Amino acid sequence: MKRPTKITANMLAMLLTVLLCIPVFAQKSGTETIYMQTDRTVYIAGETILYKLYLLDAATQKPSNLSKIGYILIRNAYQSPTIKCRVNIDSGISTGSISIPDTLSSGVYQLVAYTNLMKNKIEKPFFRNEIVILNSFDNDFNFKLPVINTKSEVDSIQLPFRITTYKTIYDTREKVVVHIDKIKLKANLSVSVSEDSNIKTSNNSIVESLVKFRNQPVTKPISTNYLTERSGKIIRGRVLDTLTGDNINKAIVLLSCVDTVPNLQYAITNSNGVFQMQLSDYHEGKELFFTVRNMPANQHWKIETEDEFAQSELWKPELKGEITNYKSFLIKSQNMAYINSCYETGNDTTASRESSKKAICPQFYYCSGRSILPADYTSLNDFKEIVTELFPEININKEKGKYKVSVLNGSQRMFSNEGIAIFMDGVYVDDVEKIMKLGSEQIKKIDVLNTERVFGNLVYKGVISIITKSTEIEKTTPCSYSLRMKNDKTNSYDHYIVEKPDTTSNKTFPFLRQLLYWNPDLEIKEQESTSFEFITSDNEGIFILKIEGITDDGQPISIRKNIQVINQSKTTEK
Amino acid sequence: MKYSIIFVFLFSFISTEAQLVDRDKNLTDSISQTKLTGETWFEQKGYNGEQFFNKAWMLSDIILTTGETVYGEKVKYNGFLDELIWVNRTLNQQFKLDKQLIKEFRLKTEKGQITHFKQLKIIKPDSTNKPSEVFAEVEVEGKISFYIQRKISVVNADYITIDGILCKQEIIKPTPQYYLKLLSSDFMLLKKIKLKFFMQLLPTQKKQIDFVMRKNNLKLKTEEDLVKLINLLNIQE
Repeated sequence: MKRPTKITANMLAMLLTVLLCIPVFAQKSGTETIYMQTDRTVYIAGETILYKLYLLDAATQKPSNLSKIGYILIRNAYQSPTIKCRVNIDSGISTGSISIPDTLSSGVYQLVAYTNLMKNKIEKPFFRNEIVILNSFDNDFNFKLPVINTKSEVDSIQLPFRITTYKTIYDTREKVVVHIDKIKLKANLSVSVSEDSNIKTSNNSIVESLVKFRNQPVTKPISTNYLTERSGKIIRGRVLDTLTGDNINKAIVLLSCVDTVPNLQYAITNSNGVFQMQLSDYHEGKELFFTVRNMPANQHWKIETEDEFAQSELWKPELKGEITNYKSFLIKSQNMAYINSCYETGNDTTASRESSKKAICPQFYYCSGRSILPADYTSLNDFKEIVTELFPEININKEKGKYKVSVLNGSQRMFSNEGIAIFMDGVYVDDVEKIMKLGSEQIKKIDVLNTERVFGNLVYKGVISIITKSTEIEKTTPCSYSLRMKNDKTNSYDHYIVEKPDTTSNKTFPFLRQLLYWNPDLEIKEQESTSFEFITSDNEGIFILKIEGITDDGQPISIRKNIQVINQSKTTEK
Repeated sequence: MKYSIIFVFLFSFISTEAQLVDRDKNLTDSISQTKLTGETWFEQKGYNGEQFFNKAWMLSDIILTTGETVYGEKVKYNGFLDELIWVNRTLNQQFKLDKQLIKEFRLKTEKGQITHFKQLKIIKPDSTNKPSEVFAEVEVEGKISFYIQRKISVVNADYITIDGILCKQEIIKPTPQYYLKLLSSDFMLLKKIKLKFFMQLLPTQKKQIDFVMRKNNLKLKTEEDLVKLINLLNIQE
């Protein structure tokens, strides 16, 4: 027998390595990891959290192009979510701000960030961090801090570049210039300069978070039930029988919104009674009307939607840390917020940027039918009367105490009362009774299409669309098998505006800041040095300059540097 | 032999993992797919001739007026009605798509050849002056654009006997309509592919046309000749 040569053995070894590596890579590819940098860790209720969210490919750690929607949740130790927001992610990055309601009580809160896709894993790779929120009227600080194990999992981090400030101690209202050395690769960074509170929270840097994620054992997704939100929010729900609790398979769930044109989206439930529906910009901030198509008589079906912010994992922080040592910092923070609100100097932080995307309406038809404006005719009391007088192609009769609407099919010359789509103010009507009381006084326009129509895979024998003068659909109550809910708006893109230097000239005006600088989008070019500047305020103390981000090849960056602000004129006087 | 087994194993493994990712993509795509709208359509028989530009169902990409694109649907362009007919493969039923929804579409042959159609707003030189929407094949787009409406019209009638009854049967044939468009003008109807008519539509470019035709030894008789000439004129300074 021929003995294997050295080359053959090497090749086999290489193949084996590839074979062993592929499962790890394949299981991590198509999945995501998330990191969120915030401007600070201590906030006063009523202030704004500025953030930058990094969504990275789990395998390459480069910005992920999979999910376009992210979820941010802030909850307290009682698990009740206090702030919920949905954000748009563009090429793995999302920047913005979250307003903290000024009614929040003081305490430690957990910040959670995730995507829909991440819900498929047993150990959910959500981003979790702790922040402290203080109510400005709280004088007791009757809460405990988390106990933190300060040992970092990252032994030594080799920094890809150096940052220099010309001094380490600065005067109040003095310009600080930060210089970043040349870097080999392009990088997208976020910078914050905030006062050091000394309060220890489990805040990991991006490097620590990613190392932690990399060291986690590879777990296969437990399911692929949660889809990647590639182009917008996917609403998930189920149809069930309220009496038996059984899941309803193959039920057609319809969704429409108030509009001047009939619009429709639909989804079919699977064997678990679950349906998933893609929402678009069109549904932003609108009221959603769900119903079931062809609801069988004498059945007790119900539509339920899943709360996208519901958390299966509880947050049980070990809150034993004493607050006494940090009281002076907390009081100072409260005072500063109070002074800024009195002088109205703390509001110049954010500016909204409206989304330029055009919302596309999922119109039910794009052709013209027979239109009638009842106002052009003698006033008629109800819809039956309107139909009798003006629409010979529609027939209304009563069967077993219930109205039935039939439309004469133009090609078959037959009346059909099954599969007629009736819309009121753009919304699919779940019960004919709702339109029967509408007369010429209420109705603005009626459109009738008496041909067999298709919408995707749904076929309708005819269409009646009623537009009312004062959006009557909003005054109706949904049937037991329908659901009406509000679709919250995506968190708008808010950007921080750096304090203008000319405010420093007015020395009599208080200029107090705990956040001196926030730039969520600092682009570092290859082989080029960069610098940025900011101004210190009247607030004296130690400030942390924190730079975090990711290079083009997926290398995380996290750098911290301290600077001190001292009112030097005061020191000289002494 | 050993290597081939290892390679087969390796590739089957990669494809299984890839399928997991693909499945999620397909599911997301299926729920976010834009819905086509239209009305049930039955082919009216009894014509002598072919109503369709493409006799067989062809895969197409349809660009909608909303800006969205629907991929891989089977359609036929009916030149007689100037309508796009869609076969819904789930319902196994044919529908005439809402014309107002369609901006353009690309028909793809099995060999990968693509025929591009666009909806044009043509003002017919009749008394009404009303614009009418027609689907036309895009031949050239540039300084001078050239489109062909693949119109099918009744050209004559025959009388045939079916079960002893004399019936009138209309003869339908392709009667293409040629449209030219300059960057700053409306669509102009070219009556026939003849140099005389072409020059009438572009009176300011007579010398240039003459020069290009002589230089390239061109004749203007067929659709191909016209496409060639317009392409050459478009690259002229």
